[in-house]
Amino acid sequence: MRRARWAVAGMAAVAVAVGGGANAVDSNYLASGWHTVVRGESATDVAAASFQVHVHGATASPHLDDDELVTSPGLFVLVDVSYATEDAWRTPEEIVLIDADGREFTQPSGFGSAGSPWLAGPDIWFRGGLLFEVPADAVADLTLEVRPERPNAQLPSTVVRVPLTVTTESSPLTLTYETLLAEGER
Amino acid sequence: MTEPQPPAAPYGAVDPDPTPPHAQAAPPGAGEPPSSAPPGPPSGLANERGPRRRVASTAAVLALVGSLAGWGWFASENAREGWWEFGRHVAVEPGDDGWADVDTLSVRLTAADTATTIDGVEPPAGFEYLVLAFDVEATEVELYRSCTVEVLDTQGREFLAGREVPNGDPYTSELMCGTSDPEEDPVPGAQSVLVLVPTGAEPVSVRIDSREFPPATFVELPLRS
Repeated sequence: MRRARWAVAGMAAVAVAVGGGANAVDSNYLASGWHTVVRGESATDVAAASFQVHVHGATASPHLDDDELVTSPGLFVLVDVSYATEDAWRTPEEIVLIDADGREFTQPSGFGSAGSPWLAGPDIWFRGGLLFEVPADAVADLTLEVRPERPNAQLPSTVVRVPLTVTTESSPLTLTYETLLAEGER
Repeated sequence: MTEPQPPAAPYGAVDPDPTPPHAQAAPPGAGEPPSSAPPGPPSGLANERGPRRRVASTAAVLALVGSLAGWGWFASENAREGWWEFGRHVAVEPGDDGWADVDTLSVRLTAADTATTIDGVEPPAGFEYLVLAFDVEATEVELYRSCTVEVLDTQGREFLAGREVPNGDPYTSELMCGTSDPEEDPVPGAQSVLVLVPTGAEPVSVRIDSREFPPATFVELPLRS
């Protein structure tokens, strides 16, 4: 009889403990965006979450040639990147730049679809330029983060991070659309 | 003169019936030398309480498991529905005549060939075009307006039709699976699409899907090698 009573008490305690544990995981990880970071380098292929990414380099300038000359109070950054998927045609949900202070920069609006993430296919690579606008003090330490899946605080995900070496120029940057690459090209 | 008294019981003798009949069930240890330990409960009571407590414990366990299962089912509702509705889990395959039917739509693969040039346009090095031809019948209007076409290969890759391929007749990027104006704009009975695939890819099937299909349903037409 006493053994049965202890068993019920034990199971109740386990249930409470499991609930508390789940709550702790939710508070500390899920609610703050639980994700795995795959770190890569420029000029190499990095694969994560069904995407393959290859960063060629990055250029910064205060000027952008978008039919007319546009000047930023900070700097425009154009990241030269190629990517493909591993399984099906899709577009990365989000690609951002992150600086040393953790600030995130997305594509600026008002420049059309050029300079924004594009659709890629399974082992069908495209190369193009991704446009960002950052404060001048951020350009010294920038990392490109590719987020293949939609960021969701309730779901774990995988992101690719590649540190950038940014070359600063005074001549204006030019936006171009992505191009399909032949097999083996990056 | 006094009445004769019954003979006194000898010292140490036990009264043969000192208790009333209802209390005759002797406790354990009766007739044994007294000890310091308190007597246990009557054995009959123990036999009754044991099963009762086992039933209570079992009920508590079942209630706990049931409540946890119910909580899990409730908490995972969105995930389950999303996984089912936005995934492909019900493949509609063709019958012996080659036609696959989804509600009012019927589709049949009539040809699958590779091409290295379409209207003078060549794919990038390392790629080729897959030319797919279909027969399509839609018996109900204003449904299944367009259907995506994808080619599945042995590596699990899905190549989407109409991407990075030449445009123009007779090729379309998607199949026309329905129309709101069958008189002026009927569903063509014969339709073709182009698919860009890496050279050396081994296609195994063609998948046709539409937002208007029932949840999780898609058409899978095997490619005969």
